[in-house]
Amino acid sequence: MQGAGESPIIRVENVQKIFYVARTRQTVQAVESADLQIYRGEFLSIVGPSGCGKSTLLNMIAGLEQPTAGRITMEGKPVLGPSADRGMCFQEYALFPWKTVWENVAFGLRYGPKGAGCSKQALNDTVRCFIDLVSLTGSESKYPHELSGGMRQRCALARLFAYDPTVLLMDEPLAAVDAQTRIVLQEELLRIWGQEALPANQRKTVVYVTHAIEEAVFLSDRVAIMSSQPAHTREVVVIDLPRPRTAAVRGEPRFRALTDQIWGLIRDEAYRATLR
Amino acid sequence: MNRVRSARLLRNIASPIAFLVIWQLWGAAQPQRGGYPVPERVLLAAQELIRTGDLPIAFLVSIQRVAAGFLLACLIAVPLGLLMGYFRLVERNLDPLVQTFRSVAPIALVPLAIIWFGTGNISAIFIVAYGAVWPLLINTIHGVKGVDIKLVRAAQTMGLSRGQILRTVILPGALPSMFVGVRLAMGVAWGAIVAAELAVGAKSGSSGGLGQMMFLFYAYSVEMNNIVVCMITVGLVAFVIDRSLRALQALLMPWATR
Repeated sequence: MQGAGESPIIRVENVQKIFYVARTRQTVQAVESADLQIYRGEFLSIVGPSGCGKSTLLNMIAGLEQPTAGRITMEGKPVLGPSADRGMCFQEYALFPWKTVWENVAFGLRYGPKGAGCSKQALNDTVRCFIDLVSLTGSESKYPHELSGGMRQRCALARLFAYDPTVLLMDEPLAAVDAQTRIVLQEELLRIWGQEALPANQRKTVVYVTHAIEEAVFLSDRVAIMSSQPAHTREVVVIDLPRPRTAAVRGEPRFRALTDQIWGLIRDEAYRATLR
Repeated sequence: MNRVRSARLLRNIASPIAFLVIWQLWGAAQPQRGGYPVPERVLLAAQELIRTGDLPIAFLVSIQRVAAGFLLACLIAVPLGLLMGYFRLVERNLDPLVQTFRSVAPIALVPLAIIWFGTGNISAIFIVAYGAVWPLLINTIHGVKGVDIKLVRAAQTMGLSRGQILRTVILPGALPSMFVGVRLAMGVAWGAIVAAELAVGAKSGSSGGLGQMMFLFYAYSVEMNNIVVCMITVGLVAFVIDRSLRALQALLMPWATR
């Protein structure tokens, strides 16, 4: 979490993104203005109604898209393209269908720069460790199409953690699983992230995009709110619920108060966006 | 279990058997029986052609030419297809040429092939390669373009370079579609060799292949039954090759086999 005077690991400064859509020959303003500071070791969620540009913002932080104006820096250096320092977890998992669970988890180490100089033994140990961490032991030789939605998601998480990025970017990673699985995986995510096993300063920085307010409150240290029309970043709400958190935290008055506060901030717009 | 299997086998061979029966009856009903091949006489002719070694030798000559032409087509089409699928500029430049040439049937190349390469092996291989290159090329391009952009992005966020992505994401991602191309190309190649050998391929030692053999039976001895033996050989070989390729695909790409 951010200490007094600590400088952010990622800065998003006055960022704007305009797409040109070839089919309609029109430009679309996906992000009007975004400002955000992300601190080392924190779990930050970005919530907002659909179409507020939160996924586009995440893609720009990843380096997969370039801002039209403004700038994004990581540790003081501008983000010019994708890098293994900023790992990403995708909405539909994006597992390689021709690779088994084991090979998917090993992928970033085997082919990416993070695995350079890594011995075969060390690679195998790392892969085994993360497959074990996400409870996929025994399914190593299965292909993604043989897994359930929840298993695929856990496999994607293991793949992400295995190559050890500094910052983890997650684009609605639980949007495609059913409601019960989602609740279980939220707790799993906190466990894998190290909410219990690691001290706060050793946890990974996470930027988590979701449209689910309760999910954001349950997981995060801070929740950044985005609005659409124009798409821009608004308040950042500090989630002062103590860790480690379990499902029981959802019943606490403070949890309700925080979700109500955030819902109050985006309610008008959510209605407008839905009933337009 | 066994009964289920034999029932399925029976269902699968019912239509070939019905075909043979109708064929035999049709032949028997013709007034001049000599001019019409029927299954029993074709079978006798096949026995004779196998006994003398003519059919096996012709078959070997043809299949070797197909293999050589097919390999040549792969060497051209796969790298070119990867480039055309991956780089838009390359595709935009070459697509008009590809679309123009792919409609020109391999048989139309026979006169050119004879003038350039004579009437031997090289001409035959050239015509086969020409026919096989298009389905391979088009399906490789299609496969590369069909690779999920998210998979490419996932690899990018793991820090892979473009070259590594081409090798570890694009190539395996395009493989199922490329295999469709392989199967189509095999069909075209096998069809093209017979057409090519009707005109070329005579000057290659002992045999000119199946096509040349058919031409000789037609032009000199007028052996209708022998011609039908050649036709059936071509069909059966094509069938066996396609089934083998499908089995190979299931073995190589367990993720892409439903």
